[in-house]
Amino acid sequence: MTRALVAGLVLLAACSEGASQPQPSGEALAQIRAQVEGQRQCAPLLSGTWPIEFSADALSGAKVDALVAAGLVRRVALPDTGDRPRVRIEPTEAGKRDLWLRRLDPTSPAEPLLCYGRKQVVAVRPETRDTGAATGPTVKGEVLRYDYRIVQPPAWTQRADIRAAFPFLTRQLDEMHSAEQAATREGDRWVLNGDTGKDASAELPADQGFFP
Amino acid sequence: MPDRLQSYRNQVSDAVDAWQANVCNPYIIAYNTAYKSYNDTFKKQNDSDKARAELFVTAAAILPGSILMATAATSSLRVLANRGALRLLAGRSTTRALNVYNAVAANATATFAIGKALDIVKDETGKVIKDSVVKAMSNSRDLLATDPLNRDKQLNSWLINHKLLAFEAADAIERSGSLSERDKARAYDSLRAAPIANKPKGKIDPARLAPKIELGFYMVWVLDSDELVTQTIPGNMHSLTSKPIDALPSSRDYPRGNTDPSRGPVQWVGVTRPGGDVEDQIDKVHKHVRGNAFYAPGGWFGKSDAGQARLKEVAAAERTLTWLSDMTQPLAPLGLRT
Repeated sequence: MTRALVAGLVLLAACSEGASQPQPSGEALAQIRAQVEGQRQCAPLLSGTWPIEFSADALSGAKVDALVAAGLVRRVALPDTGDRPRVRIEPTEAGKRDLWLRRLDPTSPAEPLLCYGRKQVVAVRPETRDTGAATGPTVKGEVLRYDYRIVQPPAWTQRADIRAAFPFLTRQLDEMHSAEQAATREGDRWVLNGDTGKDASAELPADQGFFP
Repeated sequence: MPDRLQSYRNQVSDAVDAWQANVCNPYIIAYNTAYKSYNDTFKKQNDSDKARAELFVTAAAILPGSILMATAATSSLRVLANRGALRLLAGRSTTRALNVYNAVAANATATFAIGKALDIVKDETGKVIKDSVVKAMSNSRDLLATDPLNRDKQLNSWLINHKLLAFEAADAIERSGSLSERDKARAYDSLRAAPIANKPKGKIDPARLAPKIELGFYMVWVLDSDELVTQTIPGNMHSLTSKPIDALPSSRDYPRGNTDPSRGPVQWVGVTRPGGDVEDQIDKVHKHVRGNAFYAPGGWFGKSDAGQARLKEVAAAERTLTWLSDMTQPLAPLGLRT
């Protein structure tokens, strides 16, 4: 009885929301997967600038301790300049596997990011919105949104001290996400606007990441 | 040196390091990436120093991402003095950002570095601090409008000027013979609450910001592409003069033109288009950032050449710049948005 009721509600919801919209085909899902499936998801590692050098005080504390204890980075004291002690954070051999030194352009300075899993596209769904040009009339059209999980997390992401130090990881790894980036139709293909490289900075608020 | 002063200096030094690493440096990466793409699109070798300075101040003002960039832009807005419409947009945007930390009515430099300490510290000590504020303001004025090849050094200098101001203010409070210990403690509380003494929350993501800055550059170009054309001899299409329009398209003061010679000289708003390759790139970046093209598709003979169609482009550029400003406004004093 309950099952029949739920099925009926699902059908009703489908009728009211998506009756006029064609359901995305398996091909649409395949097209999105071809662009972002397996993409490494990475978050800022301690700093927006490489090398990571701050005062020893700024790099003390439980968060950096957790990264050190997980064997990802080590603290290296910098030569004494008569001022406060300063420290450089260097990746260990193990840490280098998940480190991404991103350069937006070959001449740009590098930014350190730590990658904690890979994108797995779970579902796609059409969304109707104004797709007309900014200078033209309103035109209702379809874009494609997708939902994903972050899978294949490295073992260190399961450590209790890491989870305690960086609570965003729990949400990132345990929950389903709806991608900000949407795909638009180009000919017979759905094309994602935005980052489709093999590594990407995860869609996170600016205050989330592996900050000290 | 008393522990309190040293401890405050350490707090400021660590926060300044974080502003530098997580806001200034990534912002410069985003700006340089956007600027390179913009120049490649227009196939320009290089802009003049003045044009580069205007672009940087425009980016910092309209797409600040943080109160630091907005505050730094405020002290260099003079470089946009001759560009009425842009100056208006930039001024609106920086005012919103300064509002986030109540620096609109106050001196933004002072508020960024020492908070409201001057509300507590008066007399001789207050005068010493005010002198330091004047020095920092003078050293920061137009800083973003100079030395276009070293944006990182400019921002670093801007930060160091403010750090020195904070140190001098703390030193003056510590040495003061007129302030009670209770007032000194209150003044220190204000110093410690100032933005420069606190780390920004997170970091600017240059990968997200760069396309927005690039789109902003194109929108500024489109916004600047209008001019008021006047026919000086009635009926003679060879006797035309033109002048830039300082009003925004959304303003009631935006010229509407005149087609009736009996009511004065015939005038119309002329708009220059950037050309096919540039328009393609504008569409591409607009699609990346906003999910749709900028230009309405043309018919058999390309885009409509009607004056109204071109005016719509200028009006849309203003709307897009306002949207970009909305998207990159910090919502809290230490908050970042890209």
